[in-house]
Amino acid sequence: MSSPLHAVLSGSFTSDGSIVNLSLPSGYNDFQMTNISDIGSAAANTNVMKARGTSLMLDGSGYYSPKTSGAATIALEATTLTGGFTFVSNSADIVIGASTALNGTPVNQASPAVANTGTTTGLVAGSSVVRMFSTTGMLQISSMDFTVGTIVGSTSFELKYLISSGFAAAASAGSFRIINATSAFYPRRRFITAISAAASAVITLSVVHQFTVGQAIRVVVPSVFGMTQINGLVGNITAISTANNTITVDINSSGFTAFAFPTSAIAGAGITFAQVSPVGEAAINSVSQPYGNLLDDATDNQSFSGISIGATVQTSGVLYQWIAVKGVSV
Amino acid sequence: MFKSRKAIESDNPTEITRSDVDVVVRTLRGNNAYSFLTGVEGEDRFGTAPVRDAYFGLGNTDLIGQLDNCAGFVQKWNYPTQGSTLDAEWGTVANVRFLLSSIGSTTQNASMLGATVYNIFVCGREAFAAIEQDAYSAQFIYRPPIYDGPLALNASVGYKFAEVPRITNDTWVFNLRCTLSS
Repeated sequence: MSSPLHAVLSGSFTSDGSIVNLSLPSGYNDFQMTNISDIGSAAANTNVMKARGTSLMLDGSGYYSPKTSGAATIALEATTLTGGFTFVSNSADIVIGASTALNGTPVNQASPAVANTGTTTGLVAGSSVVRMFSTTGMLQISSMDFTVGTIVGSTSFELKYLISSGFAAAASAGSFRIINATSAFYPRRRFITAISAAASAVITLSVVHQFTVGQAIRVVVPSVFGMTQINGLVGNITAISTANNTITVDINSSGFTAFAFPTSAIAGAGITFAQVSPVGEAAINSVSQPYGNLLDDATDNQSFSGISIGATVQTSGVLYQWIAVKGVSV
Repeated sequence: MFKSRKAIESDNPTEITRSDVDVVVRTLRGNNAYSFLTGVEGEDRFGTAPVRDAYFGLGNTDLIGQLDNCAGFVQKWNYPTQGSTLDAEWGTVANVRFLLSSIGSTTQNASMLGATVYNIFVCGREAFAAIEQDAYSAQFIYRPPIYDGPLALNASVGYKFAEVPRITNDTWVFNLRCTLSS
């Protein structure tokens, strides 16, 4: 006889080596996974054969047992504090890191801008998002989020999609926090760092955008950012660039006033950032798909509750069967 | 999205002011958003004031006190009648009636100086909708304790349903962002 109070769930997945976010009902407190692919194998590899984690462990930790290279046996069980299991109540609960001071020239005038700090721990180039604040002298970016570019350990990191070379001055002080999650609903609002004047405007966004061609966005550009003519317009995305983190929209901005950040003094008096907000999906009209589904691209809740399986406790290409267990605490 | 601000203030955004509410109302009116509620006609009762037709402003309960300090704020107990007030309602400023909840939206460390920003979603009628999905009716599920074990110690109760929340007109929803005054 089953009961939701003493539940066991199971399933399987083939690892691609990256983090697996597994949705589970709430309250699971024991998780184990078993390598199915390498049973009986004496191949020369150290694939992870078994791994397990419990909910009271620190986030990212776990036990795992690699295969003995060249033999069909399992090596001694190992433990890890990173790349293991994380029990997630709600992935959309944004965890914000501690305030970390910038030093030297806190944020310079460059393309891309570079922030200097003695503490780069926890930053990952290309994926970490930082929120800058109290950037004295460069308040245009204060409280704005940025994806991190190249990192020089214990020295600096790039604000990958910000060109600050046109700013009047470098920041003379400032701090940052690492933003460890993202909001639930996809696609997401993003801040604008540049807009080209072109037949099809190219908009650069401060954080990796994940937009796709065909989605519709509304451009919000307060007057202090110059290009007032584009404010409030809705455009369909006709192209994207993941390298430059841009979207190209079917808005002709060639005759518009140039886009430019306001001065630090104006920003300090209070501004709303330029941004793009997703408003849906471009209509699809074809014989096979006559009606555009206008809901999907503004209502996709991508948050999850369950367990996040890190890269340390799995091996790419391997089929794992997993079992999740929960019971009543006594 | 609009950031509350004052002429001389150190943070951005600042605490909510009457002029912030006016900007939001002006924008929603300019976008032809319908107000949610009809006005409450004035009556000859001590300490009451008529209430304008209004949009809903959905915010966090931490805003209690901040709203009270807004010019023109009318506490709901000062409405001419209590017949149309809502449990979550705190009061009204201009054409916005504020509904507060302990789970109202906040964004941690998001102001210019790193303070918590409070999001107040001001919306017009039919600005959003909850679209129920066909062939999946809501279910209320009670599992009596006898299914738990021989000692029947634990019961469970829950519900499930399928629907899609959807913004139907994004120009009729406004996020008024503000911080708390120190």
